[in-house]
Amino acid sequence: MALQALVASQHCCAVCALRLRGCQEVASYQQVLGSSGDENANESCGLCLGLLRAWQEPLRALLSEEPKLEGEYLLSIDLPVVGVLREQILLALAEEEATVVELKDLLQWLAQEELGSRGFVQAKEPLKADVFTIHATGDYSGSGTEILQSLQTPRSGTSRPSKKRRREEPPATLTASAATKALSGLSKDELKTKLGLGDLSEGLQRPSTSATLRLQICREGFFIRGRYLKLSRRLPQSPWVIEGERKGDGSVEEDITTPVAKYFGASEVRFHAEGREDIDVRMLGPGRPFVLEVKNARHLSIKLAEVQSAVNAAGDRVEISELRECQAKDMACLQRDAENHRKRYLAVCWSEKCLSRKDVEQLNQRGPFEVQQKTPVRVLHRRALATRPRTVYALKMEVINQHYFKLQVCAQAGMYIKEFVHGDLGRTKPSMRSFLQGQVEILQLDVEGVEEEDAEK
Amino acid sequence: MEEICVSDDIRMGALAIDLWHGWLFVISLAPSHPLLAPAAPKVTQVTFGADLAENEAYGKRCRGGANVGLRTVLAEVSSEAENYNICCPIEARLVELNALLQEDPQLLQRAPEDEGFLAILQARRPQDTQRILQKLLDESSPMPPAGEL
Repeated sequence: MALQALVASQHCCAVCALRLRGCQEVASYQQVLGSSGDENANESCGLCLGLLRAWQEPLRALLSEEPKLEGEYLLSIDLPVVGVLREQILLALAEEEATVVELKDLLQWLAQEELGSRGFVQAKEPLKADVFTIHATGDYSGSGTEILQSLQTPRSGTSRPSKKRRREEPPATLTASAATKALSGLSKDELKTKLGLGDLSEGLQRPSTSATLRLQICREGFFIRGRYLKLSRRLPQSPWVIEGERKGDGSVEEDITTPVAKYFGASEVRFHAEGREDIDVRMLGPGRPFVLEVKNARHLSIKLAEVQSAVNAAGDRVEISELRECQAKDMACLQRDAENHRKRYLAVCWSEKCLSRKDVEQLNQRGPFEVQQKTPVRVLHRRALATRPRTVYALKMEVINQHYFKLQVCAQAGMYIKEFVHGDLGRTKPSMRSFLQGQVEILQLDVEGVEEEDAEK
Repeated sequence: MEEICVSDDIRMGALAIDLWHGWLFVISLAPSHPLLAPAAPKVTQVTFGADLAENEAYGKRCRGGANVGLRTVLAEVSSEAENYNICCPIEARLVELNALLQEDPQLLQRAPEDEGFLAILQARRPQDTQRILQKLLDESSPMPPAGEL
């Protein structure tokens, strides 16, 4: 009976009228939606806040923006808090007449019909790789929020938050789930007292604005690995930003992630490499391993070979190879490998003293030795002051002329090669400076390998 | 990196101050220091200021570190002839003292621009670095850069 009164009181729209009667036929709803509304332009439905009419446009717009969206879908709907409130009032009024169709369910049916008609299949197994989720969030900012104040629970437990915290944190806003918890299962009278309403239908007055639906597509990230070569001496590995200003022109990271993001239609591509090199150091040899996490991709059936060629063709600063799919754990392995692998370098150096044959012979005959490195002065601004022992496994010196030579170094991960050459004010001992007993400067450095095998294996 | 020669109390000798990477001051003996003269007596010992050795900076971003000022004696240098006090030339904070000088004091004379440095300091606040540099330039007579590439 209460429901009839509700329909008659004109608080609700034609679509809600249907659902109050417990109609289960999606076709009937579509029919009502198809006919132009009897809605007053200045007010929207007191029950669904206009969502039952407002869902179509955003969904259609989203689907037309993403023509190549692949995979099976899952739908997740979040109602605005006021919507939850009104739904609970409605359910309390309905009481035994449990045939009322809930707002969330109805929205699900309608959306499923629309997606089905566009050829999308709902996912049965949420964990499959090609499943994406459409998150629909209802926003409502009109009148009717005052009742919610009575439902807000004071913050529990925290004793005397410090003054600073009290000033910074805004008062907690009521979430939809909190509202549901607070209101579900209450009888009419309990609800009336809780909300401070004389009559429950007061809470269902038509609001002045309608709610809107915000849609977002999300997908589980997948992982790709590969190797990169850095052929430029003016390219940083990651974007270089100092105090908000961009320094350097691009980066290895962006040269790789931007085309990948474009191909897959991804919202974000995270880049993680096994170690890094300075801006003025080239990365040669087989290349440095990296792993990408491709998040919220739209398109899935992309050939990695195509992506690889696109990245390599885009410029001559970065080249990638061996692009293939991998697992999440490969990303964790990267960090571990960075610390365990040996690295091989080639440097061009200048020596203050003239180089003698004896210098070269003595150096080349050295077996592996340990170097104690204090944190280099040039990185003191971002690394702790400490002394790190590192092993040099092999050294090979090749004279170019009296004052210039090439130096091949095979060293433990984490060693600063530039400091090993010039000695860093004596804070790296031993160093090429201490071996040659004169000033030594490094002019050019290349990384030739990042996973050198242990010679004894 | 500019090398400025700050002329201190003549009895104390002259120090060279280099600014590295825009924020670190490396203090070493300037060529005009008596200990670097051709027939200078050999350095026998370098003793750092008592409280300083325990008070170097630590952690990322070089936090802490003892405050040193114009009255602080960074080190006492003993030689076969005279002894010299090295006084801090600027208002700053200590980053690092040259530990190598404890075992090899003659580094001071063998490689004053390099391994024989005395101490590394930083400004007490980052914005002071330029002010300190400017003050040094105003007060001193700049030396020609010595023997660079």
